[in-house]
Amino acid sequence: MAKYLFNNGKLKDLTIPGQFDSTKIFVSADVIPDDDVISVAGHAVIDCLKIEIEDVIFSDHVLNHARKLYDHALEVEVNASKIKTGNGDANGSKIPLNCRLLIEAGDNLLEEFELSDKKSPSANSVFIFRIKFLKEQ
Amino acid sequence: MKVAGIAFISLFFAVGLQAQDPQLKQLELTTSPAYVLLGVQPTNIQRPSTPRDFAASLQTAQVNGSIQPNFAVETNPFNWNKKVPQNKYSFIANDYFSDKLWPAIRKNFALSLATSATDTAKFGKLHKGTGIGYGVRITLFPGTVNKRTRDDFKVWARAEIKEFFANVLQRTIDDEGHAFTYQDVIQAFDISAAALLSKKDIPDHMKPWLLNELTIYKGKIAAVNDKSELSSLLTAEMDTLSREKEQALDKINARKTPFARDGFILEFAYAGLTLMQSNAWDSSVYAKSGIWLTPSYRIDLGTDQDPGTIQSLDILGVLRYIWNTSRVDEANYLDFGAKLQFNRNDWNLGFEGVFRHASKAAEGLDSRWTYSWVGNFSYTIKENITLRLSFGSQFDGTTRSYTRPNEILAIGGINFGFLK
Repeated sequence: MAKYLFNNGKLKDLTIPGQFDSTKIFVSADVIPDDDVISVAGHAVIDCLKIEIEDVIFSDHVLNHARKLYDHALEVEVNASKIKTGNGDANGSKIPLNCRLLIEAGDNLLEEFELSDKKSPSANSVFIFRIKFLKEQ
Repeated sequence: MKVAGIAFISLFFAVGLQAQDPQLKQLELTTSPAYVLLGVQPTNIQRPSTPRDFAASLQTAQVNGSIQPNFAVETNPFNWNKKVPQNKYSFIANDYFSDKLWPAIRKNFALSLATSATDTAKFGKLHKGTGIGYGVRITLFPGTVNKRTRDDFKVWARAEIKEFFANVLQRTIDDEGHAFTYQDVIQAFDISAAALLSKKDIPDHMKPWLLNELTIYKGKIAAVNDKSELSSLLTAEMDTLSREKEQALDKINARKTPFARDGFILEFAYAGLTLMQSNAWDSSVYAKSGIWLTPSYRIDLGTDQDPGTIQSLDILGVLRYIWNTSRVDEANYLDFGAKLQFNRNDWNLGFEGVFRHASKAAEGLDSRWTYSWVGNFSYTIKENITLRLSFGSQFDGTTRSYTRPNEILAIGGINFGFLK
């Protein structure tokens, strides 16, 4: 298993504009392979105020209202397993994955983060994002 | 006895592959049921396969002593308005592992239409013209995903659920100010069990077994009371589990067709035929119809020592009844036969024999029997082009010709499949 840490594992600050104080914050993860001969299985662990498990690819997971998240950290661990579902000679474990994490306030995209296992693709890649929510000053 | 030769060359072209559809055989247009009644089929017994949204086939065959084109289209209407999932890369396990009847019927349902010039050898007293065949085939039993992939997937699924249980528990107790209690284990178990039951990448039939495995695992974890000892155990466990997952996935991903199905597959087919005599619409007459069952059993001969080699042996049969109108033949036909086919990577080699018994003999003749035997060789030149050669004998045309001297027939042609 190879682990990929966004921002070298350090907390990445995300300032939420004041207008979204009372807006719910959503998180989504998208995992896209370079070749559709594989599909993606696995799970994601969302750790922010409480610990929850989602599918490896998930959308619109609600965290809380923005004002309740200030100064709290969000950690999303996307544990992606590659499963070859197509046919052919290609080794499915060696096909790279791109993992995108989207943070939204309501329907407004606040930030998009991305990691890839292109350098050393393996059958199971873990992408870890650590984000700290900050209030706009 | 008549001896006949069949030489059949097929080239198949494909576009627009469906990544999410676990095909039994990806790129080959099967013998259309309608071709069978037209008498221009390249093989009598073919392993059931998953139809495309739309496929077309053009071949040429010898009819009336000259090479003439035959055309067939095949489609699965259940796929026409199929919604693309929101994320097409998510592994939806039930799509691959389900052996339920209705999903199999929806996935493997195919309507077909075929046309060919017709002769008097196969169509008795009807005038030469153009035959239009229409058919449907339905897979009643879809077989199962091969045992090696099933076993490896179970290893992956078990490690997957244990890993997220261990992960949740470790995150819970890692907080320095947190006083560890047994309640933490129960909470992590409940979160994990709920996640397992809602997971789409694990087939439903596997979940009760995994819930049992998770409960046993909880018991192992619950035996540790010391927080630091538990933390070390969970770290070690997660390393081991992730290695287990990776090893299982590497085995699946190294195979050429990991989700190939084997075991017992049963297909039902119906076809009807209308003949336009002298190629005129107002002279069209219903000529014949037939129903048949094609049971097949595939034995996987591949090994994990050589994952790049796909080998299997197919044992197939056919049981078919054809009703003729009296102008085609006074008799109806009962066909039964068997086929053995060896498949290896890009080629396969098969031999089939089918007997035909007529419900009654023609006036002045005794014989009610005829037969067909065919040897097939198929080679996939590249992913979307397949060459097929068949050689053997065809059925005699009608009961009136069952006792004639040997007669050589030949069918040859090129078959194009346009698949979506």
